[in-house]
Amino acid sequence: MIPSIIIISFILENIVSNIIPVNTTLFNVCFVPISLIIIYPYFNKFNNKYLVTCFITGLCYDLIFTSTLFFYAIIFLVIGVVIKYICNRLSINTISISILSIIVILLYRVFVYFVLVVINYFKYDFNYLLKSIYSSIILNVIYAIIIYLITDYISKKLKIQKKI
Amino acid sequence: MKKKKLEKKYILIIILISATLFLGFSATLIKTDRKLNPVEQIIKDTSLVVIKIVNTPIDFIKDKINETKEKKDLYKKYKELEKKVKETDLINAEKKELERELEEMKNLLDLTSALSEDSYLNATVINRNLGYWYNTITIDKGTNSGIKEDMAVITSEGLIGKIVKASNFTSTVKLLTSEDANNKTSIRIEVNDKYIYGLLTGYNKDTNTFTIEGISDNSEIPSGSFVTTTGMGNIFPSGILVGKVKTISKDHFDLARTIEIESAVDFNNISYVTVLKRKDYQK
Repeated sequence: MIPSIIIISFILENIVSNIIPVNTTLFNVCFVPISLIIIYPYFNKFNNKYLVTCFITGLCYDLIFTSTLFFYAIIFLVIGVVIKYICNRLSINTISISILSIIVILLYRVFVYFVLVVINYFKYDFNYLLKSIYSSIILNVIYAIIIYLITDYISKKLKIQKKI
Repeated sequence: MKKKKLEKKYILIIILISATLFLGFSATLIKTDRKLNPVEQIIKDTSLVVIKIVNTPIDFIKDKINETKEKKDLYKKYKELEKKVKETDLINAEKKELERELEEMKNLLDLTSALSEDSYLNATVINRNLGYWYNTITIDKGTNSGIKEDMAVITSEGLIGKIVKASNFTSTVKLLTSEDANNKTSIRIEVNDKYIYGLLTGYNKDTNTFTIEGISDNSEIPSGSFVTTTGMGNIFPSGILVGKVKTISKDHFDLARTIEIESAVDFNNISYVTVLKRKDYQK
């Protein structure tokens, strides 16, 4: 279940990026970071294994998409720590998944943006950051809910254990 | 109690050192023109195969939709083309004469870096702007097809960017729209018989316009003037269309002018590109 969620997210992120306009104001994709939320319940008590998976997913993102070796690996690891912290205090359902996706998008965009500003990749512009966040919320929350419901249905059918 | 305080202190120091190392590491990775190592190249090339297989049915559907859209005003387009064909003979005769003159002048001045010296390589876009901040696209041609870093990439409408990374079968193109502080392009505005030179300093996604700041030349610049590359910096050949002048405004001190350029390319929808393989390219 876990590898298939991650692989599907990688493939869909690639496909959707080719369909939607580059400068879209509402539908920016970040399906791969969202998949980190969906896979968390399937790790049950193996929390360290979850963090290793986050790191490897980030590394694959670096290698396949952005060519920034280890940059996204570390960012995904940090996102994984936050997801782990929140999920240990919340029950997992559609609403908590939606809230978590918004938190992950926010964290993901802010973290990458500030690193790029600090290393002087581009000038600080709050509106640019704000736009990147609100333009990513709708599509990714919808994706999170859909993939959560599908995987939940499959796990019930196949009797796969997961955290509730 | 004291031991706990000491532990906290150590954790804080470790976090600070890690953050500093991470930032330094990120700066080296993102800002420098690093070449892909063999492992990265193999993974990129392998992923291209999967991406191409997955994209095939989607591209087919996209092409069919575009075909249907284009068929709607087919008659109107046919009439427009008919008019243009009549003008072609005249233009061809003029072109031949100009080519002959250009060749003579080049021989006279020993010039080799004009656009006509390039060969073209068509490529398909396999993904667009992943990672959001970098304004890059990936194309399905790499070093095996003769692509090298810093080669110019165009569409039928004009310049779109340059190659920044290349593996055997894929290449990453940094778009002109990139906010990257190192990504400045030298351009010239054609005004009557002379050129006004400047640098592209910014891009507005909402209006699809570029900004040129600090033009101190006082010549009148009419709206609609063509903006092309200068060929300076030895990356983009001279004479590639970037856009047309849209508006001109003065800065706060009334000293220099800021020019808005309407981009010739619709950056929202780039599916096919052409790489300019320069004959004189040595890197």
